[in-house]
Amino acid sequence: MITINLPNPMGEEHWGLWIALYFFLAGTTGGAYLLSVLFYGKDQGLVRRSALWAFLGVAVGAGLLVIDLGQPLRFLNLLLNGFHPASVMWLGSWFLVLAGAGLLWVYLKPTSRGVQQGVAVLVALVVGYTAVLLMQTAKPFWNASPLLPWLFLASAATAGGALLQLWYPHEKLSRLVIASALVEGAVLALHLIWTYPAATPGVLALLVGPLAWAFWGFVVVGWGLPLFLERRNVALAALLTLVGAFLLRYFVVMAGQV
Amino acid sequence: MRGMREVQVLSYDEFYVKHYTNASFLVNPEFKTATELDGLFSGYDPEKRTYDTSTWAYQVDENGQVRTDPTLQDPHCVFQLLRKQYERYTPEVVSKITGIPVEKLLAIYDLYSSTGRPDRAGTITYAMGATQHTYGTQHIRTYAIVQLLLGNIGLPGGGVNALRGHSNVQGSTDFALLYHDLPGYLGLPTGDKPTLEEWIASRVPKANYAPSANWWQNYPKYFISLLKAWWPEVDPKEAYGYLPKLSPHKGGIPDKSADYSHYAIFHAMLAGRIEGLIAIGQNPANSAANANLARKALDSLKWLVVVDPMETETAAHWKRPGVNPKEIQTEVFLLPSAVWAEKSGSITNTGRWAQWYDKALDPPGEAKEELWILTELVQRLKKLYAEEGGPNKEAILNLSWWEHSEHMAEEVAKEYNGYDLTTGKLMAKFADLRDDGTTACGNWLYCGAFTEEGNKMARRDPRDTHPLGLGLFQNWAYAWPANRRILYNRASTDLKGQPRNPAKWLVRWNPKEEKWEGDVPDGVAPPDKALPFIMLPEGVGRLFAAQLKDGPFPEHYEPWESALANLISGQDKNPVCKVWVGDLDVYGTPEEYPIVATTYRLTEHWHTGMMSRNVPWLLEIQPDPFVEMDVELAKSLGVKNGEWVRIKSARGEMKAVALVTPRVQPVKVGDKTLHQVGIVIHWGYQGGNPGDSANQLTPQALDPNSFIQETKAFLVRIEKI
Amino acid sequence: MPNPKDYAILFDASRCIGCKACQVACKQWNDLEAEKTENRGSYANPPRLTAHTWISMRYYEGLRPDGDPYFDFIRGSCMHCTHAPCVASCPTGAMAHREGGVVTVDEKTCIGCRSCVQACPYEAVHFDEARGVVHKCTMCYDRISNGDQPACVKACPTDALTFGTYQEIRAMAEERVRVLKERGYARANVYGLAELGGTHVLYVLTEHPSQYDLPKAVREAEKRAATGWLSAGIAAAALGAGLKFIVERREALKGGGQ
Repeated sequence: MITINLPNPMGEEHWGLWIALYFFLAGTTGGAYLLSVLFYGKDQGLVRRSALWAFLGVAVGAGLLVIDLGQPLRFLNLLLNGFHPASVMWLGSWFLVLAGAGLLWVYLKPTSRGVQQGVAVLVALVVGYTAVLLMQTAKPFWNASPLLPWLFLASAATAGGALLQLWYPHEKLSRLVIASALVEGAVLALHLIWTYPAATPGVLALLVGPLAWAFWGFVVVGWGLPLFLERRNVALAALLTLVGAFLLRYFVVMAGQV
Repeated sequence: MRGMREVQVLSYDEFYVKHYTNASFLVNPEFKTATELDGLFSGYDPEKRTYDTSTWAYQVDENGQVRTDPTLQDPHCVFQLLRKQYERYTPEVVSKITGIPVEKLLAIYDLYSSTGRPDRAGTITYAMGATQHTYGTQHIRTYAIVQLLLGNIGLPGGGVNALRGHSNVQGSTDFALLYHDLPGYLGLPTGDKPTLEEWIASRVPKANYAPSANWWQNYPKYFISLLKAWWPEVDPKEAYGYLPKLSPHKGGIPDKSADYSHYAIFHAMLAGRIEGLIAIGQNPANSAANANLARKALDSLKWLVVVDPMETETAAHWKRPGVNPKEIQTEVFLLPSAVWAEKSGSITNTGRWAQWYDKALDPPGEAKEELWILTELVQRLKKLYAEEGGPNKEAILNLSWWEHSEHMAEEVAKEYNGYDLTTGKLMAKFADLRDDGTTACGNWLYCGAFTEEGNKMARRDPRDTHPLGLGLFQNWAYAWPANRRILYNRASTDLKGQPRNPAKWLVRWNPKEEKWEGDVPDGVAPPDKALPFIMLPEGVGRLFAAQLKDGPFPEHYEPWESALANLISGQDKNPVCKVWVGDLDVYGTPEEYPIVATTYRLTEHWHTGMMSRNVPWLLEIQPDPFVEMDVELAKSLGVKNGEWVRIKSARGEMKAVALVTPRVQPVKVGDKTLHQVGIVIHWGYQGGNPGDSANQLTPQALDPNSFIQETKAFLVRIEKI
Repeated sequence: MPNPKDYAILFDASRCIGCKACQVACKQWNDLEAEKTENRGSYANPPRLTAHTWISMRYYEGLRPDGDPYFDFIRGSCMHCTHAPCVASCPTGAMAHREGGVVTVDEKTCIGCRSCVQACPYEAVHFDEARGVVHKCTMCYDRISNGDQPACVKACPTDALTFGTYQEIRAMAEERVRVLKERGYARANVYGLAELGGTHVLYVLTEHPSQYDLPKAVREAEKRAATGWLSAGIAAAALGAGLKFIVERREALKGGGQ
């Protein structure tokens, strides 16, 4: 138990920008690694490069999480203070540590496909647990439908795919990205409808309120436009998709706390 | 559903009414009720705006004893006069005036009048909503009449009980902080009684109904003992001359020369006739009705001494918003004083319990308790009078006062308990006080509070002492008089002193041991030797009370500033109420000010806010002044809940947050729909979250008996800001 | 279910006069700072619970169906739940149950992640920005563990608040509801018996809890997490398989990829 007292001068009660950024980094780079293992498993160069990106995403992301804490210097209490399996954040902290270690290993050392797939499971947990973290709370925008994990995983696939396309644009990836983007869009729409009765203020904030810029920004610039541009200008589409992925994480985090 | 009714048949307690009220007393046949004279009683002089009350007197026989009709049938008996007076007050008429539906009125009447049985009791509790009107005293009289009719006075769970706005306001009247009185409600003598004998003769009533105990016949003992307490070395006849005197009218008419009531003083200040003021724990710049007038009046003072824990609006009047301090010549001396935990003393609650408080800590900085400040003042005055002389100097030089000490408060308490001057011992009870100058007592009601046995006010035994567990707690503090916990408790028994409700008996006469059991009875005389209402010469409760300035019976009038004509008579307003008229005493019409306003207190703040608005945790829970209004009114004004609005009356304006609520409803009176708003009072330009005082709006229209201001009903208009 | 000998507080709304003595007493005992507030058209101030306001009285005014106005008062505060979502969500174990069912945070261990803030359905836990940890009602643990009553209970002038063992308090609550029903309050009920394993603060209400913004049928954090993990697992499998199918079926159709 670490009891150093050094409050974070930027401390705020809301889960805000740092959390949204972390979701984006871990989700996107994690998604890239997952896609590379799932669809390009034979291309070890690609797999190991995406493992590096994912490791950096996880490491920087974890750093952002520590910065966000009210008492950052006590962050090791997450890992050293006993077992708290009911706490999604506790489990998530371990997933981050184990996935990070695994990704680093995959990048540094030659490993078997089995190991890479095992690490992929950890990475999937890293991508998915963030949605469960939100679902565990009392905020109806996050917990009133079961769809957040679907949204985060589909978004990770889309954004991860977009990231991969920046170095490695080709047909299969385009098909992948379009398919997962469509799933993402459908899930998002369904989630909004499903949670509307219990989370009306949050949903309205997204559609017509103070978060509308982020929501419609995502829909038009971060989702619709890339779909249109996917076969015309892959690089631009990929960049816009990445912007959209950040916007999505951001407005989901903010809408829950309206 | 009941239909039209001619006279309200009220369930009433026949035995109680017959034996313990003046229902059977015959009144002068010339007396006319307000029913017969369209809102006036007999004897009204419209020019002088007073009543000649000679027709209000009882009929008496050759021995001066009241004539009665025990059958209650004689048309001139109080009971029949009561019925005549209120025959106009049918449920339909009352419903029309109050806006309360007839069914609700009847339901309330039925429910409450069910307490008119000996085995049931009802209590009426009230506060400023009843008293702060130009007919406020008569409101309280209606409660007394209802309670007497239902036999609820003197029972556990009965009575007419004031909910106090100040923890020690009972103490303040007991000790005559009001200008017209002396401690123990002895009354300040008037100028038309130049000698002690004449004064005492005018105050000792003659019992006019047997077997009345007529306790005020003991007046000379209390009055003379008071004079001996204050001027122990002086013959009472001479000491009487030291006392200031009131005008015989006691300020009943706005009388420039000798009216020392609160608002008269302020008008005298306004007219430049008063040089200086000492304000001790009083903040009239905020607490007076028509606060703008009060503030302006303060401007004319040469000097002002404020004794208070805080720099109040009164102390800071010279720098209030809207004035140029350079134009105000008042020199202000702020003497910081202690708060309740920083001084010892007694506090008396509405149950007349004097509870002693011990000082818990020293006041901060230079603050001192008032007793210390007053002692300094008296010592210096004595020195000045000794050196320089002056009018009535003997009064000051011979005045007994205490030396500074740690136990000053206890010494004061002993003085008001009283001493037997022949033995030097503390008095045990006021029944032992004498009128020959051999006893001294600062307040006969408190005689018995601090005896040779110790400070009874400091007792804290929480055990219920009544065998039935009625909650008497006779060993907790000291209740005046004589530690009696429920007044007029003899009225809870029959003529033999046996409880009318044995299951909840409060007092009872034990014939074998020839003494009373239970609560301390009103006088120890056996049941057949005294009637319950011992403080009245009649010995019985007054349904008919000729002593009030505006009528022996309550009569409905509209407030001085009203939106309506009186629907029960042609007399719109109280015909004898005291109203100031002048440049700053202005009144508005319903056309300009169509909204009826009243004022509220809040739990979170206290009075002018000088203490509570300097406590951050109280400001936190109630930060801003607000006005409660109904939904329709808000809509018609275009005002949303939570918006600031401006409220205006003929006398001033204020800003407040609009609190729009369905708890306030428009009222249908006759064919008019009236909107009423409730304005909170606690803000001022000093202290935390400064703001406007509701008294910037209120009028100085006064009740003729108490001179209390009508701050509970006046007219305003409201605007969006 | 709470242990019969646990500590418990009864709030009887039918006796409450909305005086806020409890609110102020809590501040005094716990040295909580006064907040800067405004009157926004309500008697409620401060308007919600914060790190420095552990009791916030709520005021409900309106008209009943029969046209009579009502003015009801609810004491909003931590409910000291048996299955406290804040405890379940806490990744370090800083937020925990103490003796007698009391829920408090160990402010030396707390890392300020604010999972508990998000988890509380009563919004009773809040983050103290200056100190970097969360700060909440302790049920005056320092007083009750020394034989005294919580400060709020002691201050209440109408016996709307009572303190005792859970067994005593529950019996009192049920008896009071019985009496209220006899007096015509047909909808009188005890709130807190079924919620979150039973709360150690019970309410006697004269109307349904939903009239007072009190959540019924609150899901426990463990159940929310379980739903989340299940959904995430299905999502990962479905998305993975689905994407693989879409992408590789196209490939198969095209007769081999690139």
